[in-house]
Amino acid sequence: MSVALKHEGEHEAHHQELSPLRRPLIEGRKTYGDVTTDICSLMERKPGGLWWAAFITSLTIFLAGAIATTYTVTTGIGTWGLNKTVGWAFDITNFVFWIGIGHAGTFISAILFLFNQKWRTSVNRSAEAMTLIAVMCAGIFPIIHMGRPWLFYWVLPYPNQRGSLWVNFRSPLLWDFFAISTYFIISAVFWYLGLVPDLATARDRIRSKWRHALYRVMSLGWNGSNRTWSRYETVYLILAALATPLVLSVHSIVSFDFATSVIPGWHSTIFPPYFVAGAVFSGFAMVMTLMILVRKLMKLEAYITPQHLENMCKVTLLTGSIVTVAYLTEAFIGFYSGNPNEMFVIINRAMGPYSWAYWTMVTCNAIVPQFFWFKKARTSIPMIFVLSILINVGMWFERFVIIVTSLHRDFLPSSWAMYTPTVTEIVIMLGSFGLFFTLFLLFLRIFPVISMNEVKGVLHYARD
Amino acid sequence: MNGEKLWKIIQHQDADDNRREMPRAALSRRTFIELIGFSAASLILSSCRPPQQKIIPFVHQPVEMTPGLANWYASTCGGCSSACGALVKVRDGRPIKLEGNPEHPLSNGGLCAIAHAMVFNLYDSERLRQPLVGSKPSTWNEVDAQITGKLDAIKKSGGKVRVLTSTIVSPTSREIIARFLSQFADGRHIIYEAVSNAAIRQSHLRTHKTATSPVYNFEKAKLVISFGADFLGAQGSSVQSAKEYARARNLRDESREMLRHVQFESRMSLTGSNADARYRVSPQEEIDALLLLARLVAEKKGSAAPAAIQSFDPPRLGARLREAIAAIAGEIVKHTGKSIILSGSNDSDVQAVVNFINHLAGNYGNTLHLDITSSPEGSGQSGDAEMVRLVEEMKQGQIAALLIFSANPVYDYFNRDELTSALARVPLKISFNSHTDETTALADFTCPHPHFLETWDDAQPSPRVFSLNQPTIAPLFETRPYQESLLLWSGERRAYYDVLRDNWKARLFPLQKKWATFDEFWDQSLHDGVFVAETVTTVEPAFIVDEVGRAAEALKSRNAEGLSLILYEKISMRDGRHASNPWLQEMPDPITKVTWDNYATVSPGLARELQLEEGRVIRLSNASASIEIPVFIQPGQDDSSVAVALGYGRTKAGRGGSAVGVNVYPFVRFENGTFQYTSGVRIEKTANKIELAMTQRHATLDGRPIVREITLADYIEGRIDEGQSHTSEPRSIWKDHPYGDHKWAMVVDLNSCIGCSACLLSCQAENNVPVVGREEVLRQREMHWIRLDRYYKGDDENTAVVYQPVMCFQCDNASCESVCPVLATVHSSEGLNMQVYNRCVGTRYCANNCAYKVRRFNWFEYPHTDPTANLALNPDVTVRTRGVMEKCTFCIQRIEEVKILARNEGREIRDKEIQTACQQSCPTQAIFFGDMADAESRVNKLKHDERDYILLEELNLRPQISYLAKVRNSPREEA
Repeated sequence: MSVALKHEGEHEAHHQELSPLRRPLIEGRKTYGDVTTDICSLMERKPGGLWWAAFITSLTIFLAGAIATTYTVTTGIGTWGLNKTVGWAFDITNFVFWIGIGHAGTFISAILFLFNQKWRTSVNRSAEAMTLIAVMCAGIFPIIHMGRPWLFYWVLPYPNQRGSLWVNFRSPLLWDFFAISTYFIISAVFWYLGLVPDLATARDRIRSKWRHALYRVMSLGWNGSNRTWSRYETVYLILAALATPLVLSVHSIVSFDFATSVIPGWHSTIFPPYFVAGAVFSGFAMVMTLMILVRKLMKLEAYITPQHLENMCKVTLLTGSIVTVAYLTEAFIGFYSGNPNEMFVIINRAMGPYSWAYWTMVTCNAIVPQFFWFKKARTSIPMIFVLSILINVGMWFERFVIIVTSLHRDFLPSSWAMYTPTVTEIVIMLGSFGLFFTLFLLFLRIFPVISMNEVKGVLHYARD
Repeated sequence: MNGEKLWKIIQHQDADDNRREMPRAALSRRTFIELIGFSAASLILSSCRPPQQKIIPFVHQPVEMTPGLANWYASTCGGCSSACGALVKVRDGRPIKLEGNPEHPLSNGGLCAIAHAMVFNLYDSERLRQPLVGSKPSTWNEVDAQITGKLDAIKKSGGKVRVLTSTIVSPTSREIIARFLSQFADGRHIIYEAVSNAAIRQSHLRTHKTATSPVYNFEKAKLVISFGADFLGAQGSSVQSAKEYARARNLRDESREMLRHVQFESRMSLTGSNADARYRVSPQEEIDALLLLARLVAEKKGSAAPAAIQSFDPPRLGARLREAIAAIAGEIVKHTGKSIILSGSNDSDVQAVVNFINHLAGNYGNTLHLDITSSPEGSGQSGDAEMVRLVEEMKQGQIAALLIFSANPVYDYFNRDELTSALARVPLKISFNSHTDETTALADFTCPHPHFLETWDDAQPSPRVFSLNQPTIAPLFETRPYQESLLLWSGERRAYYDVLRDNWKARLFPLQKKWATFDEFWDQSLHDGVFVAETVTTVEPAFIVDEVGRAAEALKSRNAEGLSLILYEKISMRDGRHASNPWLQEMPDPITKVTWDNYATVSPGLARELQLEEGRVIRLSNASASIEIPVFIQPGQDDSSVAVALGYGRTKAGRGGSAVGVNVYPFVRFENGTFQYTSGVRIEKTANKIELAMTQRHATLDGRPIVREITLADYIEGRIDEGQSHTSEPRSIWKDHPYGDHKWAMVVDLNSCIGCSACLLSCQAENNVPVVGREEVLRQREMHWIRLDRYYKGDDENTAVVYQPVMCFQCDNASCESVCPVLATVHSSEGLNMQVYNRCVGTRYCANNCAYKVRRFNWFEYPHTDPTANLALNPDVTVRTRGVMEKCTFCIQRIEEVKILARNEGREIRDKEIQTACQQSCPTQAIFFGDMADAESRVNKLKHDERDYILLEELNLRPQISYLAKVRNSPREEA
């Protein structure tokens, strides 16, 4: 309580040697005070009609998904379109998709932080929130895809009284559990730590009793002293260093679900880097989609500028090109291996009954990002919006193609089968989007959307 | 010696027990109070349990019964008129499984799919539970009183009485029927088979002056030429035929000789699919080919042939067919007395020509026997004409009483409307059928006959073989054997059992010399389930050539143009009498793999021409009937015919069997004194489409070496591994599992497997595999633990078929085991890949990662709510719940049973002592199971057979099932 609103000026530690020739990262010649007011007022104001409309829509879709999930759990996995040959489809596709989405946040906040990319400051907060929410969405699927989800905790290696019954450390599904829970915990801590100074700002401004109490507890007694700042930044740096390898490990391990199996189309050593690149690719695309919406919805055009989007477009172009190389490599190895089963998978993907999914994937993931070679595409916000959505459609199909086209025709033609999703599965998938947007909209209302303390470090004003 | 040993064991145990005893300490007061406290608390807690059901033990436990142990009784299968020898497994008073009786001289331990499904019928809760008057439940006294009154009136008035049954293989029953009918002035026993083979008998009446079916001996044959005969499938005693056929084609144990099988046929039959050479012909060409063969054999033999045959020159047959037939004629002459020629036709003209070729080839007395002394068919089997005459008589109101047993003419008579109106004119109609089927629904009285597992009976499947059928459970419902009803109405209040015994004493006891007293003879026969008469006289009747000329003349004049409809029996549904059995309905057809439906098989050529696709509904019509039925495109089918299975479209076959498929009996023709199953039709395309519930959607191997096949010539020359190089042992990142005393393994001989699917049903009955229904099969979710993969080879016209039974391979390096996060699938010390149902959380990762796709997931809670049906469950096998994975276990319960038995007897497990359910009943003995740890075991030796190969060996999963390559007895250029 005794701390005044003083920390606004205490950003010497962040002082940057930015060339005056560079375009400012934050437009509109904002002052420190402006930043605080702009961001905090978003939390203090009553939400607008647009927010309510978005929130109610998302919540409704989420509830529909919840009903479909309840139906699945009470009736059986038979309510889905799976069969004796295709044991996974929408469930694991959605899981991998959401985990992939969850890659951009930590990439932006940790890796770009380590690389001193200052432009990250405007987007890292919401990107990290997106990560956490996406991982939550992802986490639902491995549980509900089980035949007996009420026993999901058997997958955890917890001490039990069932004698020698223990989990199978050879199973990639178990590795998934460790990888994802570690990633979630580190990401959550990292995000929360970044929030603390801003929460202290909010605490000091907000008069609402409940909110005040919440921020007071959450800001952990932040006092803005030099010593606090110094320790805070040390911890932030250490956590960034810890989170960085996780960005790479999570999707590598998720890819092991497939790579360690014997099924042609899954059994591939290219998967870990391919999956990581794909995840960052889809994550950035999702950040762009969200940021374009957020800057409009929350009137943050000055903070999230076309320059930010352009930078992200470049990352998308790079990772999209890596993904393209991966596709080409996969096809090449399929033929080069001389293994008829591998060759068949490639041909079946491109020309089989699911070729439409494959070519959707190739179009969206390999061709669409190539537009970002052009500055016009990188700077046109409607264009970026459309392309980023297409990329995510493509990345969803990438997982669908990998899972379904590999399974539906494997070694013995006698077991070949087709998979068609049921309404239940589609509603569950939509429901996960509903959950994602519901939580994200709540985040926009409850927490500072933009990292005020970091943005203040990159203001023009700071350089004057 | 034994006593000593036992004593030692007890002493040893005592020592063990002493060691385990608690050390005695002085009991302190504190400990005492603690113990009291705990005891009191535990007493109170234990009384908190919910009330439990009381299990009442036997007051007098039957001597032979031990709870938890199965008793086996030798009996006879009543599934069809083949009367195969069966062993009935009875657990705690409930028959739960039928297995082949290895001592039966005909079926030799084999059983077909229908036999396995019969357990379901026993516990079918839709069976009639008491006699009916009209459709109202009644009592036996009431029914008897009314019927006796009416029968007495008929006796006085001298009205005609007819007993209408399907083939009765029981000599005692035939006698009872005859005795019952003798009370009346005009009583006759009419035998009506919906799918008749009367032409064979009729043709022998023409050519040999005896209305008898020959007994075939495939084992002795070197050459089988079949003209559309499905002798391995639905025709005749298929288990026996398949058994002998497989023996004659066996290439295990250094054998290098093999029966050659040539098939001429229009539709793709199970038998044709196994042929070494299969010629696709139209129904008309089939007759031409037969006549040409007759001519060529006669020429080569230098025998006199009727002019009609001598002058025969087929206009329709192509050069390829003519050459093939000439070659076959040469082979027949080469193998004189060692061939069999058969036809599936029910036309006595065709069969007469067949008889002629068999006669020329010297087969009578060698590979086929006409036994006219005591043949069951010789005594009392009537022809199709008598059924037609019966309907005529009924129509004229001449029949006073009609008693129907095991026949359902209202469903399967070709002229249903005529029959129904004729039936209305019969004042007394009594049905003995066990279900309210189409015919029974029109009966005045229904006196339900019990299931064959509940009743005594005998059977004479072949002239020398008599088998006994003993009840293995008291009748579940208020049913009474029809024999007892007939006896009662003949004025004899006797148990059928007594009559049966008396009959055996009078007739069969004198046919042997081994047993001095009848009781010994009876006990032995009952124990064995079968009695083989020692003395039998076979007479070889002379051949009458004249009839052949007449037959050939008639055949030459027959000239069917246009599209023909071929009606056939599926091996699961046969004539439709078991349509209410969902196990059979869900059994995939061996060739089409379709369940729960019949369909019109159309050749790919005809489909292209008419622009039909699979599932497209077509209308087939002629003067007598018109139906709409979905199309199944069948490679190997002839272009000028379509084939549709009989036995479907039942209207009163209970919850499961009604309204499944389409009834095509109206297309049956009555011509030339027999029912004909081929007729001309028009075909029209409709706008509708139906999806067929198939368990296998992709039919070809696409060049993958999954089913290996070689020609006999290559095999003899040792060229077995052409193009299939064995790589060096691949390395594994895991350490090998340590194995104990046993390592279970299996070998499947693809050269023996004919695809009959008996294993599939045997497994279903043994392992409580649920039926999922048509909708779920459409979603590819059938639960069968064993499947018979069928692949086509060749092109649409010259189509060869291979079968491959696939069950869990119990891999050493199992890909399913490593991916389960909860260790629900683990490796046993005996090499089994075990699924722990109660640990399974249902991630399905194991099924995804199974290269053979043998795992089955419980998508729903498959209901086990019918208390009667639940009695059929095998108590040794857990019923799985929703959300868990399951798969073939190598019948682990059978392994354990034998292990316990061997341990109790203080000995090692003998080779071949453990038989899996699929292996036990395999009519062709294609499956071998045993211990790889035993260097001398059968399975171990077979694994060293040259033909042995491992499916998907390159994956290094080290599966414990391997296959013996299929061998085709055909010249190399054909392969």
